[in-house]
Amino acid sequence: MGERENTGKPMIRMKGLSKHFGDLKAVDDVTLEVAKGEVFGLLGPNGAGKTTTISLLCTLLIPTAGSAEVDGVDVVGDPLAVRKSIGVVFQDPSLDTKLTARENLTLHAMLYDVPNDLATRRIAEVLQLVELTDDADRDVKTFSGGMKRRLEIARGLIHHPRLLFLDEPTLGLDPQTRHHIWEHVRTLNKEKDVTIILTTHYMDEADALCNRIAVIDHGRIVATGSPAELKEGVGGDLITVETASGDDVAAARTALEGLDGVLSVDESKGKLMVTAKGGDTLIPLVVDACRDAKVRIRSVNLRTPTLNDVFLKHTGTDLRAENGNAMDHIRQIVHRRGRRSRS
Amino acid sequence: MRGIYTIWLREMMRYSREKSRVVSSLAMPLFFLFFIGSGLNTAFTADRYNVNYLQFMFPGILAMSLLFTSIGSGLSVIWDREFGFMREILVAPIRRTSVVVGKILGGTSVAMIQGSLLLLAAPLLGLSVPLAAVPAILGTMALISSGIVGLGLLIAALSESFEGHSIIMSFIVMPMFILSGAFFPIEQLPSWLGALVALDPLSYGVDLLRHLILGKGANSIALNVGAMACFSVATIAACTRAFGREF
Repeated sequence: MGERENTGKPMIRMKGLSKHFGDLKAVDDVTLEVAKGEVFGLLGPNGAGKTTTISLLCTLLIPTAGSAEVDGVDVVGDPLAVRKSIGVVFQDPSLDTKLTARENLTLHAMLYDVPNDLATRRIAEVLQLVELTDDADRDVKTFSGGMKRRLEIARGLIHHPRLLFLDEPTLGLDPQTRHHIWEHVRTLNKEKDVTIILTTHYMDEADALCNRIAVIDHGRIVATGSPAELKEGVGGDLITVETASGDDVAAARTALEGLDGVLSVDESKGKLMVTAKGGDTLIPLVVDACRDAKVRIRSVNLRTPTLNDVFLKHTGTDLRAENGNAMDHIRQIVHRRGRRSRS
Repeated sequence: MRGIYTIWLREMMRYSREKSRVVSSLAMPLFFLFFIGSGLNTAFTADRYNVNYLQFMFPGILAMSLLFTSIGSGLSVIWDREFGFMREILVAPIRRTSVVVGKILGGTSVAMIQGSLLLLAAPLLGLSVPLAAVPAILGTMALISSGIVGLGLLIAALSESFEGHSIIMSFIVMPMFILSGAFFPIEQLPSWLGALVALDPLSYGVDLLRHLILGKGANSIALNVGAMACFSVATIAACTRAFGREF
């Protein structure tokens, strides 16, 4: 568990938070704290409960059980105060496409009671941040998917929220736009001191952006920690050493087993498989140890666990091959119903 | 207050964008007036009213215009929900009741603009509208519109998606229109039809407009005003209940 130094109250505190739709436990007994200043990721496949968790935190749904606080305010007790302090970028678009970008932003500023002169300044500022200044007066319906996403992120910032929810912010976007949006997220977190809760089912995204991640599956948190900690938890890095001749494998093995950080050495098809902590820093030591033992090396290969391995370990399913599952499909439908029937 | 104003302003911004909606929702009542009115002119004599059919039909057509524009504004919430803008409103720090009030004011304003354009067009079609009655006509228009926007919002709150749109039009809006007496005098109807007309809230609005524009009506003015006011209050209260919960 990656506990950052918690100065003061956490930004988010969930205690036994649950949301059931009939028999479906979309969010099931989640207890979690997110500190101020974190970029916190909720990682999981479609239908895992990420969006429902966010809906509970932004006061769109009422919990079946448990409680949640945002910046010390209970989401059920004072939803209006919670809404004031958060910004939300939904997974599904929520712009008025009949209006221009600037009109969408203006309406947002008014909804959050930002004074007019300040709003004009901030709108110019956020448009510049997401590089839409030149398109500000075009109708949103003429925008590409990436432009709409950027506009929604811009909109979520006008009222200077202390906490920003990004639900699958780069879903369906091209790689260039994704990296662009990642940059914005980092800037916001560092320069504007915005705490960010991000849901994603892209592992590289979680890896690139988040200080801490909760892996969520079937509505439950199955693992929490920094990306590095989670990956270490999978069982360490794997270094494969191939010797030049093959007969000196035994000598190499003895030499490697003595190194700090090596957890185990196995032999497979004439190659040595070294499980270790901190594989990248170990490689030079491996090479030196073999040279000292007069063993010539043909190749050294390092494989570090990915978040996908983390996911595999905790849920038994591959994050990348998660679509097409009938149950997930049903969960999604139930989920959408649940959303709809409440408004 | 600013929340209400924002929701209202959005309705007005959207309306000003939809030139085709302005034109088409003005064209339909004018077609009705001009073609049906002219066509039936020879067949119709409303002795009691002592006017030609075109003139007789005008209050009803005005009410029709208000009905269609207002119900459309109320039902537009379904679109907002399907296309996501509703979520932007729902996470904003404004009360749900402000959203309802803003929507009703926005829808009523749009219907009033449409109705006023129709009033302005009346002299061009050779129809007369007593100038002194214009403030009262505008008041009646606001009363009718707000009630129907409320009805539209209520239907939107109760329906899952816009798949039900044609059902709503066929079984709620069209009967309301036809039974409102927009096309025929509601005096001396067969009793079964008279009963249905009396159940249609819009019939009181049409009758009230007839009082103001033609100088005569079937019901008393007090009954018309009372019925319309009850209808407005009831639908607005119901849709506030349906939408107004914070969750």
